[in-house]
Amino acid sequence: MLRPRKLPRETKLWNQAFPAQCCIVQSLVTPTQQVVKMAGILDVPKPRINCSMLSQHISRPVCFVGRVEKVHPTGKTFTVADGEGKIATVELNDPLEEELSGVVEVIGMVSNKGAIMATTYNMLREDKGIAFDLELYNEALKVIQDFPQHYPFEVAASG
Amino acid sequence: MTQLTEGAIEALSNGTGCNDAVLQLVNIRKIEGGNGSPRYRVMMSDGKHTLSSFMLSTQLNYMAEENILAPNCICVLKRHVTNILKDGRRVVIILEIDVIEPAGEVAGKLGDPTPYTEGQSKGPQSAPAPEVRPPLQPQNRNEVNRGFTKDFGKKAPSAMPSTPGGSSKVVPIASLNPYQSKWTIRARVTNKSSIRTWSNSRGDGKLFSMEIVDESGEIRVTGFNQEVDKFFSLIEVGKVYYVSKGSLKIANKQYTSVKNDYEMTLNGESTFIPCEDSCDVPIVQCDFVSISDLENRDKDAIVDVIGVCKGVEEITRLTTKTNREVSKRTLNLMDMSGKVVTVTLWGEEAEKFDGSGQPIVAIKGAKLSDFGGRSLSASFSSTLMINPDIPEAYKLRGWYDKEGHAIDGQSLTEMKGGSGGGNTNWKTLSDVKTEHLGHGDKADYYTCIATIVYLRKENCLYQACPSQDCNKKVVDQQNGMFRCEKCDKEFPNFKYRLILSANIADYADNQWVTCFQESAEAILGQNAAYLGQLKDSNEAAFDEVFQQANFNTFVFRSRVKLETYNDESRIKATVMDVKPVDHKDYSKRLIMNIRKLSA
Repeated sequence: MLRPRKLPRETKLWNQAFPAQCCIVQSLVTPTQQVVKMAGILDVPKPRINCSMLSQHISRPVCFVGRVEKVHPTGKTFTVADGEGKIATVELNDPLEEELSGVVEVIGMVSNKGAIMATTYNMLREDKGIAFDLELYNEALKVIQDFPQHYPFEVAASG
Repeated sequence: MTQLTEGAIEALSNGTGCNDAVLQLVNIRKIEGGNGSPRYRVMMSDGKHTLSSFMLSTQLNYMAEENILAPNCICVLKRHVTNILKDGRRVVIILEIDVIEPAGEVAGKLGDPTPYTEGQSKGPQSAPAPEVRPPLQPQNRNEVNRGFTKDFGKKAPSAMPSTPGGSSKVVPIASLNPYQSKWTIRARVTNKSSIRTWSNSRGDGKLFSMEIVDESGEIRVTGFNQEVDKFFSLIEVGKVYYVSKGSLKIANKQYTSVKNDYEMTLNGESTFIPCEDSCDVPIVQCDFVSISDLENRDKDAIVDVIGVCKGVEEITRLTTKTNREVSKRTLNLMDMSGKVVTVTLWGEEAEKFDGSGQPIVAIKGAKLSDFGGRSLSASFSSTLMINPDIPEAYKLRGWYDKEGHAIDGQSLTEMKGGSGGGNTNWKTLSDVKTEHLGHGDKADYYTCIATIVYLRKENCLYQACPSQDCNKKVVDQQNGMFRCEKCDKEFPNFKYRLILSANIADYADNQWVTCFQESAEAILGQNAAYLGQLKDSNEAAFDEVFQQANFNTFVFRSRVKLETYNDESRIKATVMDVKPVDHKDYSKRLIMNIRKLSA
């Protein structure tokens, strides 16, 4: 799992626009096996989901935002709670190298057991900016789900 | 002999209606109307029943005056309308009636009709009728008519449900109407306003008003001029009185929230007699709305609420536009729905209010507004009751002591950020054009979220008078002095002030707006003096400020008005306030609008 690193100021703006893809820049700097996997998932549309939508996205890349509940002592897995309070499990390839807390955005594939095999994650710092309102995010997710005709993300991503 | 339509009286009385009923007019009586013109009350028979609650519509008064309608004549009721009085009684208003057999040609009473009763309180009326009938029956038919007329004559005054002299027979407030003038009611005064004076082109006057309540309902009572002197000091809130001889008229709903179609005015003959026996009369009549329900009510609705006072703020003093100082206090009310609403008290009530110990507060006639979502205001006509002696209050106290005190309560009134502080009228920039905002006599205010797409650097600064509060442009005298016309003084210096012309846009449309000092400084992120300096010294840095400010998104509160300048009318928009976007509030609003649209 590539650790998010502090990047030069000039690219900070770009990274705010494309948070997940900041890893590509890093991949250019430190080529690893992960690059291939990473590039694969980053080019593909990743619908934002919550726990109730996990079952519909098995074996598909997704983006899951939730609050960190418990971290396994090994550091290779942790649980997250979504805006509705339901829990999902996140599994990592490499153990965590830092303290994980608050709201995180996880990008990965959904396994057949309903866990998220994370490719990368992004911690939304609580001490910076405005606190992330998870319930409001959940409401927005529901709106996106209810009106897919107005939110053609699949088309936009591949276009 | 023409046949009468039997059963017609029953049908008319029940409201099932009856077309072209053939009825016999038993009696007709003149009643002096309140506004000068007489009304005629008619008793009709269908051979089976008689009903005396027929009123002749005023346009047919001539029929009574010219004796076309006279006792015994047979008529066809062509058009009528049935009105239901407050106490459930029906009055049939005769709009069109044809006499098919004049009185002279009819021998006498047809059939043997009995007065039709619906179980109403016409006790004194129905009692004499059966008593009189049996002895009349064996008599000559012609005499029956006379007997009945006598009966009707006797019945008529007792049909007025009270005897002159006040306190013996009391009627419910719900039965009061302008067509009956001799009544007495027994009621408790729930609310007495202070004396208000006015002076207009017709002269001066003073008035006071109050609301009185009894078991059947409530009614508003107003006294003017002399009645103010007579009754104001006499009447105390909470006491029960016998009231009689007030004049009734249709309620002016603009001034009252009381649930009654009529309102009473005290006149020279009105009497207010204190009543000792007051236990039956309810203390107050309220139709409480649960706080969570307030969201569903329209703004400006008058409601009654009851709740626990969770907290109260300090008194603040404001000066109104008319330069009057008024005290204001807000308190938070919570009820069993778990929702909290902010209530504003004014004047004396604000000062007297003691919110310690979480009292149960009931407000009757509070005004609902959409200030900050939903909030209530106790206006002049509202009654504020602390720990009232009513069952709802006890229920609330019990609930609060058990569970309520622990609940935090969800407030309907947004006090922090978001839509707090003034009615936010959210519009998109295309709405401004389609709704022709600003085209009326007054300026329109609206709020929108938009992005700055262009800022005009040229002429954004002007030299203004350096004196405090004077922003008038000064004239450069070219001798190192600057003259202000408003202050009529010359100054060796000036202060730079901003007038920024900007083009803002949202997904729907764009708009040119003008931003003055405060808003402009907020947008540019620099103060006017510094900008003035930059403009003169460092052109590049000055441009940079404008570049940076471009394409930022803000919440704009704007004022738009149609202005005519040399025969040309244009919409001018001025930005009153600029604020950074509160994304949470924006998201919530968007989600709410999306859901509303899809419903």
